[in-house]
Amino acid sequence: MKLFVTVTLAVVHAAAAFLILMLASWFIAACSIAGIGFNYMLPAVVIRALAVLRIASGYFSMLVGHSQLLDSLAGLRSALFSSLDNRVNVSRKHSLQALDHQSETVAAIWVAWVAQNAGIFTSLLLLNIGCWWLVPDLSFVLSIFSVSYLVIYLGLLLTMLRKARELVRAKSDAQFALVQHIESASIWHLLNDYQVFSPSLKKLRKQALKLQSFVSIAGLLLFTTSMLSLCWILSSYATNFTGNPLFLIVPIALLSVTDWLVPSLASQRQLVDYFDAKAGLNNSITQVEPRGQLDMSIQGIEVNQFIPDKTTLYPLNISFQVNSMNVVTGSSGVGKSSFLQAIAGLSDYDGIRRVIPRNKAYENCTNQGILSGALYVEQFPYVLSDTLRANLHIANPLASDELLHKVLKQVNLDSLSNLDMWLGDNGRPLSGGEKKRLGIARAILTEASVLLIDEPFEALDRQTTKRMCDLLNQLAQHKIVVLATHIIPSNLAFDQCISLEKASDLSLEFAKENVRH
Amino acid sequence: MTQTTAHHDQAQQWLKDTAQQARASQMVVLSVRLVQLVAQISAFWFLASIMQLIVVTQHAALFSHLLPLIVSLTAWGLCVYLADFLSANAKQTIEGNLENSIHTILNAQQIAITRRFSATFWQQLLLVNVSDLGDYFVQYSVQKYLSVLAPIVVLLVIFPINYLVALCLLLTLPIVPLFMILVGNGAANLHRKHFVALERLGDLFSDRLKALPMITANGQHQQQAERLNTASNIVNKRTMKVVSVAFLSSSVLDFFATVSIALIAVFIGFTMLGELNIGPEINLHKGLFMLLVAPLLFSELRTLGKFYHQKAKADAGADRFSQVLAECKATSQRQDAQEDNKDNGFSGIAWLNYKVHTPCLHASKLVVQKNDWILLTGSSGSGKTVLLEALIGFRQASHSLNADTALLSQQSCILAESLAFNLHLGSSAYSASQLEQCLSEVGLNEWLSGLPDGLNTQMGDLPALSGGEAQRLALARVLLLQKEIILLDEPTAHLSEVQRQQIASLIHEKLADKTVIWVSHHALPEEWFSQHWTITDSEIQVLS
Repeated sequence: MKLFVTVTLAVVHAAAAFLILMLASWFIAACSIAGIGFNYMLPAVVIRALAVLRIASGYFSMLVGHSQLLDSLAGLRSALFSSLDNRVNVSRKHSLQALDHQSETVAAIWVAWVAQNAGIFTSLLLLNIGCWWLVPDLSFVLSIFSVSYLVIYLGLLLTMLRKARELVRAKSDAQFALVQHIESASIWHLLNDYQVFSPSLKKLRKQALKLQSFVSIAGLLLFTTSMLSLCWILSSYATNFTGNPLFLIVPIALLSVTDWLVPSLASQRQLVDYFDAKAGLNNSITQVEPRGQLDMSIQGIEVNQFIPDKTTLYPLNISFQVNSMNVVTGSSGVGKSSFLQAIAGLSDYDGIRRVIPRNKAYENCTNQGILSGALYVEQFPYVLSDTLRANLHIANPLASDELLHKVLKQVNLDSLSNLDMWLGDNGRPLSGGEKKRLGIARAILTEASVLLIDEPFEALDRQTTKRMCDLLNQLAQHKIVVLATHIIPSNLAFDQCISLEKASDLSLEFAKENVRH
Repeated sequence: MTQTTAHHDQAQQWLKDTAQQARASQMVVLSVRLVQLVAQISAFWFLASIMQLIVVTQHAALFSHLLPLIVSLTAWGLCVYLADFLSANAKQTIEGNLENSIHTILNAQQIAITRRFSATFWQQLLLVNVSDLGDYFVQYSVQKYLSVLAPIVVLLVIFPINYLVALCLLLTLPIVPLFMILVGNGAANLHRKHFVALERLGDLFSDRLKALPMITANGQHQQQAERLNTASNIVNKRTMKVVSVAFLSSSVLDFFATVSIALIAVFIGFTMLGELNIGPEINLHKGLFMLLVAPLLFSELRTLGKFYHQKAKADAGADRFSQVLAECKATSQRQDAQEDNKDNGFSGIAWLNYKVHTPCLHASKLVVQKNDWILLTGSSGSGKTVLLEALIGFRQASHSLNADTALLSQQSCILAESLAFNLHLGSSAYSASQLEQCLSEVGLNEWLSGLPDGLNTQMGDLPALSGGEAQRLALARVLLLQKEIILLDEPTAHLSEVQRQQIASLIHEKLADKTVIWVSHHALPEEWFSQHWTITDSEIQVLS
């Protein structure tokens, strides 16, 4: 409904502007040669009515258009978010970030392109009908002009579609190259020539310039066509119309072509962006198969010939028993995080992961998918842009405020006493150590029976580390706790320690050691 | 609050200074646009006169009548194209200069500056902000002048033809900005009222996308989807309240532009009919001309409105640039220093009263002899990395090492190029056997023989190296490039205990004949070192 109103208002807005100019020029011409009895009041009133109509339709088309944009953006994003359920893939973070911008482009298409172009085409149609009805002699020239406009319009669109795709690709290549360049900053001083090594964006800019120049050239072409038509009319048809004020309409329309037709060419860019964004949206959803969910309480987990995706780990055979503390060690980059994520089902793996359910009824169910009975706590726990309460409720939505206060105290975060305090991007930022402790707080709150915690002790001082160890030791009394860490604090009581160092690095280290405290 | 204001002022100052450099090309584009305006107005004049000829005098248009029209139309069209072309080229130049200035800073301060911001920050700066600033300098700034000059030209043209119409238009002119300011203030007030909600809830979608793995891991997808819906409902309602006022601003312009045409048309028509007898006489030629020219009074101002978002984007860009500039107040002379002394070789230094400027570090005396092994310790945050960066010349200090120096950091960097390139970094002075030799020195010969294409294997195609392997590769690179002084910034920080010992011994063995300054949190054998420096309270002390 809003869509229809938006487009209608935009059409009225464009057509009214166009009609005012036509009517006004005819009116002046008619007045200049008018005899007695010329009814001048009616056109004068119509002109003023059109003016009011234009202003009102302009304002409301913007207002309704914007409202429609916001509605469709909200709808689109809601649908997008729902369709991403269980389609998580940690290596895909970058393409997800693009969704934000892409959904905006897709939602804006009606306001930015459809409404505008509908107005322009309606004006062109009105002009042709009016011409055929009032000054049929000129309709031949005008229809030739209209056809050339359509040719220029489509030609530009096709060229842009092709070139813009190249530009999008070049842009994402440049993005990648720049990030790589910055990440290699630590070796720049070893280079002979920094200038040669640094990626230049000159080529990308040239490409963008070229795309822009297509619009300029099409604009020049359209302008030339319309001015040629104008001169044609003035030189060949003037004799048929001497003394006829209606003659003015078509020349004036052609003369003001820069105001009403040329902008339609620049708006092609929006359509091209729309197609790319749309393709991007579809890609990011269909790229990843949805993962199943394993919804059961867990007694133990066994892995056999297990290799997390994109790591060079040797195949692992490990079992995690209920009520145990397990430590996974290894240097950074060796694949500790991938290992935990693969066990949680958040990323892919080769080999077998077998979950032993508490309830025998589930014994034979499929073993693929995300374990809803397991919680993975990231190396840098994500702080939602939301209240402190919401940041804790993510682990357990049913937790009471008293419980939240108690847990905050346990993890030494009682300096954050106001549960309504806004955290994240536009609120209070958390330090690295505070984020770690927020992660532990979530681990305490959750009802999951398996806790997979990534580097819980980095960025913590000795005393806090000791305190966190005690908390984790407690949790291991009734849950399966798996820690990935390269620091093993002395008061951590663990049942099993697994080293993930590669065989080549293992001349001094045992592949697996069992330590019972 | 005062800090953010000061920062904002700095950004604005930077924008002004940079605008100076673009001034010349802006003026060229502006003059072409003015010529275009004049050509357009004369085209209107000649067309109106032809219409007078055909409709009133009832005479066919001859070629002699058409010629001036054709000339001015041609000039108009060409000027539009030329102005587009010139501003696109000016944009290229400005963006190229901005890009170069960033790379100059990066080259001078290297990791000392890159690690102050994220890789995404730099990528955005180079890719997005530079282009936004280019648009601002060539489009918005030029349009700003044009929107002031165009009304003056139009009034100057209309005044001699009909002072009454000119006077009416002149009276409406100050009303337009007045209304726009009033409406703008109203919208700004409303926005301030809803600011917190709009800021916090507006970015929720992108925030929850970033948090998607965490949300999935917690099984809270459904709940968060509901949260998003509620948030976007609130944001949309409040946004509509703000824009319903903000849009009035452009309607004000629309109002005056439209009403001026309508009223002028009626006024001219009635004057010609003899119904109104005020002011000079009007014929079709003059009347039509004024009708066509009057909209030009506001059209440039409307275009400025369309470019308005460029101003906001440029402000954001300027803000980032001044953040970077604030971080690197003074550039170093690393490049020149290195060139001077490259061939002489390092023979040792003895500095009195050594100083690093920001953050402050001081030593009363520092002596480094050739082949010295120096252990550098200090609590975290005391400035160990800063000292290394100052020694190599990435930070301004009273002295810096005039020798071929390499810095090995915690995270070794592997480029997505071939293995050979990762070792020689683009220099062609090394043979394949030299590369193999240095790989086998760091114990990577077996790993090399397992690679599909040997030295030509693309590192981007391989799975990530383990921390230990990556450090070995970085060490091989330093050995190959034969640097004299090696600064080690906790090269074993992220390694497990066993790995740490292996890599430390390897470094000790392979760099024995070099000058080494080693930052380490972990204990290293005392007998490896000839000196021990420690940093406490910004003072570098020599312990032995």
